[in-house]
Amino acid sequence: MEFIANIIAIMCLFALLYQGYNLILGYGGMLHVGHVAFMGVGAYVSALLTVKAGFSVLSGVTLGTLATGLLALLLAIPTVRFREDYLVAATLGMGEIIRIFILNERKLTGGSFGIVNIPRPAPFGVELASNVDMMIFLLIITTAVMLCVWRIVHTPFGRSIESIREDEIAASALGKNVWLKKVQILVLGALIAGLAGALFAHHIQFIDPSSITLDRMILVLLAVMLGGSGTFWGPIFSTILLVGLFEAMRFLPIPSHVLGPLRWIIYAAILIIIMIHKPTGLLGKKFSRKKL
Amino acid sequence: MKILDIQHLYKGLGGIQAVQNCSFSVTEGSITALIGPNGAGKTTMFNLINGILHHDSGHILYREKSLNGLQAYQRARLGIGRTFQAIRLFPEMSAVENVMLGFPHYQDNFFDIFHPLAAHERHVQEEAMNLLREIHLDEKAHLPAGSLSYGQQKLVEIMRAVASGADLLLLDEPAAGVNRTLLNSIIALIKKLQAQGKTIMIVEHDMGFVMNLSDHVIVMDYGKEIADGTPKEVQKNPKVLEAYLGVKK
Amino acid sequence: MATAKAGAGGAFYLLYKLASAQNQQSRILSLAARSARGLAEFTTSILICYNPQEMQLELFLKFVLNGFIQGSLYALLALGLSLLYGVLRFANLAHGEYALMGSFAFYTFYVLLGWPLLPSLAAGFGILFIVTLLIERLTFTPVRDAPPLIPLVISIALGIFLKNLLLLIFEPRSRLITANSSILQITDFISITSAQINIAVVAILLMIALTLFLKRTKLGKAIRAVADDREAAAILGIPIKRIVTITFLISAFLAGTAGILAAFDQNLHPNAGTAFTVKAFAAVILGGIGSIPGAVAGGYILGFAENILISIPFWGWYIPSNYKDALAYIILILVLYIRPNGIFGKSAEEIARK
Repeated sequence: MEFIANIIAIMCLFALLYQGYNLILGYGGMLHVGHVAFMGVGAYVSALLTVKAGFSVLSGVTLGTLATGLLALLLAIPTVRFREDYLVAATLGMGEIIRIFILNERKLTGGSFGIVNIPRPAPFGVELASNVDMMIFLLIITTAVMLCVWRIVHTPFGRSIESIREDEIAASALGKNVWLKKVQILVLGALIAGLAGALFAHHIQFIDPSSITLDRMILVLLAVMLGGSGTFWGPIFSTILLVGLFEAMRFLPIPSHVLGPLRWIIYAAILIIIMIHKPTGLLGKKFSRKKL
Repeated sequence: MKILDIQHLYKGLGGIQAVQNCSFSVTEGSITALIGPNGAGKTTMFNLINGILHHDSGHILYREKSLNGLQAYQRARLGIGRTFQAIRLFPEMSAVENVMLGFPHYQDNFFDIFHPLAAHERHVQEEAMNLLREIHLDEKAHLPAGSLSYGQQKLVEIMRAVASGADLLLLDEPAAGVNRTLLNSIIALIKKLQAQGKTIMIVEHDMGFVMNLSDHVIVMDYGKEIADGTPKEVQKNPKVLEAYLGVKK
Repeated sequence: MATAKAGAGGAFYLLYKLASAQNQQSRILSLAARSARGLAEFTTSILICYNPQEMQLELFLKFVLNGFIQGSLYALLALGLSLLYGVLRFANLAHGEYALMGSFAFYTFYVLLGWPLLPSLAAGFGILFIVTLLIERLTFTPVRDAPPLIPLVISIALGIFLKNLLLLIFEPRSRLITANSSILQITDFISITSAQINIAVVAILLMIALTLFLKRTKLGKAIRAVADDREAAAILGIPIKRIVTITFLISAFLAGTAGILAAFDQNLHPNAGTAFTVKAFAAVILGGIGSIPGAVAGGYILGFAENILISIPFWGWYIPSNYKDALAYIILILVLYIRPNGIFGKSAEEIARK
């Protein structure tokens, strides 16, 4: 039961991460590859505050999420105007800078060893020691966040974000402040990623820079593309599929040093196949791009 | 009253002067046509007025206020609406959704998500349906805009610009590729919009369309404005004949 | 100090004059532009950061030399990326992995199988070309007309795919090909290995060869035509698909050469592909996207900047060398924000903004 609860807990966290990215790429149309860095920032800030500065988990998670949001805001302001390949380059650079920083500042972040003994959350003084407790906690939070996302997406605001993705020029000719809306949706997606990251750190009680690599970003991309970018249920569906796939692969008799790269090869291959044959994803909506 | 005043406008693009020292003005409530051979700079002129491109020097005055430095969305909010040569509807959204997105009071800002919305959205939808009814497309309102016929899409695009409350409508080749019947619908629509007090600027190639419909014609060639007057005056202008036909008097 | 400032001023003037003279397409001018730019960069760095009391000139010069070597490598990488971008309007985010593929393929034959140099090179490039062709046919041709997002995502995924493939086949260790690497002592402190000399010489020769190829040969002109205006080229009867394939192969060849040259000088780990890609990107954007001499210039500037900035004390503080890679990324981001059209590039309005 603990094992299954853990899997469900992990699914909740990834669902949040992927949904956050879905807001940025699927709805906002921004191919930004620093999303796992956002998650990492949320995780590290929360971990450091709780482990090294004695903050409560609630404060840690809140501040971690807000820190991520702030970072995203700073990143977004100049970058949202970029064309897709420049955006990829800039966000790639940014993600790597964050990772290199974490890797090198050993005194602060533990370097490649990461941070251990991160406390479990303790709402109302009751520590959520067991996986089942965490699962319930995370299910509640995830459902709440998903409801908010649902709400946001089905409002005129959500519709206008989609219109920007479909045709920026037309949207601006209708009076939409494209830059502002893109910043808003980027920060929103980042906040959710930060939250997911912080909760992740407190769930598995360990965090290290290997979770911020470009490989992991492929998984996020895959998740959003596979389920259908721009759809609400797409990322949730992908989460179940991908976490299930990963756990299943664990049972195969493959040595772990092979399994590592093999995972990424499989994910990358699936992503490529999806992009060629069904870019709308399994639940998908088409996305179109118009040039000036 | 001059709703639009272009003064000594210059714009260089890709090594050539797409717009060179253009000056003209547009009277409120008129239908003004901007014509000229291909590559004359007409669409560039629209892009400059509407803010998609920024001019290198010169002035654009809308209702006597300079548009210098204002971005496209700001100019749209001031009352400049636009349709595009290659239709830019949001293809995956329905026709009525496209029009709804045009309304400035659609409450699509981020902080509007906290307001109770259902009644308001229904109201906006009703307004959009009214506009679609005017062009007889209310039955197709909920179909994806991309699935409508070319001519129908053009009409929807115009109504979407109307929804934005524009007083100055820039229509880029509204008649291009459209059959006779739909062309008449478009002409009727433009006249109706003029009767409602709107000012309309049209970029067009179809001479019949232009000469019958417009009050005022401006001719461009190689980025310069070479003629400016009533349709009759312009038709007789030797520079215009030379530009179009290569005929020298 | 005053003479240095005058020198830098003069060099910059020369540089910008040459940059605008680029249109004359003279080989000598572009070579001269490169040297002028190098000189300008050199003297600027001295002006900004050189603190005579703390810095040893010799140490500084050592890093300048390294910068030149490294710059040659980056220029080669940037060249491949820029060429592909020019023809396809597509940023190959797996470019670094192509370089690694070339070097690992070569490594397999040269070190693991013990073949002599030339057959190893032939075999290594052979494998690289086959893989490139496969990738092009299977993954890029089907999405030729798709919105630009799709090929971009595919190239990101390819990068990860190839990198992990290398990790799988070759195990996550660094490799260095140490055969025949003799050292040449220049002064007490400064030395240069034959591998490094090779890098610079081969890179420069290749750059000259490529420039000549693009300007003088029929195929080269066809490539430039497609890069300039694809539709016009098609109307003129140029076989676009074939040109695209050839460009892919040339780009892979340049990347592979860079990879093989680097393998003789540095430890190459399969994870190094990302760094190569980002640095190539930084160099291309720095020099101005769409410009071949720009890519070369950007490569050298990056190489110098990386090495010089590490060796210069900023008011007593040295940048830790672990952050060397991060420097390239920071430069990339700064260029994108401040001057996205780079040094030789086209107008910002047309390129970077939507």
